[in-house]
Amino acid sequence: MRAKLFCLAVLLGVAALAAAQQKAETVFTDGDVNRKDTAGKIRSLEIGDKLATGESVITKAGASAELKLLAGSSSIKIRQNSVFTLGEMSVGGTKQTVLQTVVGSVAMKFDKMASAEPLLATTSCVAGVRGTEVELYAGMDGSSIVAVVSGAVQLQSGGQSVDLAADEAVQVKPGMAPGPKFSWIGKQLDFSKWDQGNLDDYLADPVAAALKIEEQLAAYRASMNELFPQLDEQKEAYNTAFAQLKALVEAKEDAKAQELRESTVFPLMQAQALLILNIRYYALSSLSLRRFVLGGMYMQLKTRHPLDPSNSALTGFLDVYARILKDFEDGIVPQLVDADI
Amino acid sequence: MRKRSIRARFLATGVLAAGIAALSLMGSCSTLPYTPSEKKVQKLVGLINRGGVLAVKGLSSAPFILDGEILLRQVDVDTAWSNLEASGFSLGTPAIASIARIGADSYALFGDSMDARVFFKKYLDKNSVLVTLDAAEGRYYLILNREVSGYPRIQGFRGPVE
Repeated sequence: MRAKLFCLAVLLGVAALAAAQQKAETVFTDGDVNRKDTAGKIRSLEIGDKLATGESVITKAGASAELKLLAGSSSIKIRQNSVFTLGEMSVGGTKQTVLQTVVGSVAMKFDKMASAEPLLATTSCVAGVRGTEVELYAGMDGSSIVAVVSGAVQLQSGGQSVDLAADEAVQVKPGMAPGPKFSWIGKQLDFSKWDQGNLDDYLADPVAAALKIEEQLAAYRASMNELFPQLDEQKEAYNTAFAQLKALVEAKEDAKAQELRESTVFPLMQAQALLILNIRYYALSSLSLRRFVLGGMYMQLKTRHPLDPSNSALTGFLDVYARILKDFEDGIVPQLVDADI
Repeated sequence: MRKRSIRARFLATGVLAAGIAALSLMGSCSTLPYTPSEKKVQKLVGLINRGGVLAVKGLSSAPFILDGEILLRQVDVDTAWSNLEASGFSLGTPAIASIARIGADSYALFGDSMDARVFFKKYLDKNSVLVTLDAAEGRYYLILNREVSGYPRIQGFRGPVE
């Protein structure tokens, strides 16, 4: 009986945890829309499906989807040929949802009553929002446009930030500071036309574009590497505290053991979990950039010159590409699991 | 009367057992892993040479591996075939070097990376086969699967490798 109750408690705990991780519900789909779940499986996205942190939505040509965040009534419209991911990172010791437009076009409208507004991200920038309606466009070369319809946005990229008000927009290139602000007249961007311009620029100088991706990936890797010494310190502190706790438990000093658990052991565990969360955030952002931007660049160039390996644009690109892949395997892959791929 | 009843039951049981055996046999046949004939591979090569992959709906769908790159968006898979067609790409008349089941190390032919390894493990199944073609420009690898409209479905492409 006791064992059964224990199992039930564990099951309820797991269910509660799973429910807590769910962030959004699918309220509309049109055409072929897939989800890549946290186990890495790709399947059809249906109305009513709830999405958890770590899941992605992938829309095909002519398809779209709309999600509603479970906290508040904020809505996210994912347009055709887009990849949108629900991420999470720790900011100032607090977990924050990160809504990442990896590639394609997404419109978001945030409920002003929502308690904690999420962060927005593309592969080249991160933005905080306040009561905002915003459009995000993520191009094939890693460029982004963030356009504010209403409310305000504070955007960061390349170590610099810019504040955007209603009817303002900014373009960001990977690894670089935000470009100049420009007036946004409120209508939807012709994404295909804009991205064709990105493709033309890329094809004109693929090496320069690949170098920007290398720079952005290096920035992600540097942010990630800064966290490893902190994690080592936390682990050491945790091991020391745990040894003290073990000694107290063995000495049957229950009150002191409980105090140590609450004051030291649990906070150290939580601090480690938040550091690991951010390490994973940078690793997954790197993977998105490598998969959907660098991979797309490779595909575009290779399939245009399939039988011309000595083409100078291709060979120049491939040199940078090979270097990026090696750095990725050495620095990022150890932080990934098969389900991420 | 009783004897006949028992006999009838035996007969019925025999018929049932034979039926089950036949169904099992049919079932096992239908679950045999797919292997395309050389004729089917040549038919597919002809289609690729004519730039007709996109004309056969569902023939090449995401997830797809191009050399070592995983393409998860269908638009990228379509763009790859569209670009190849626009470039005038042709495999020529390659010799079929082998048609083989996917092995534990097959991924390395597409790249010594986590991407290639996981793609082979996660996105391929028992019906996926590795076809090696020797062409004038070098060697090509195709990953093929059960047929769509009479053509083996294409899950991956690499080449030319010199």
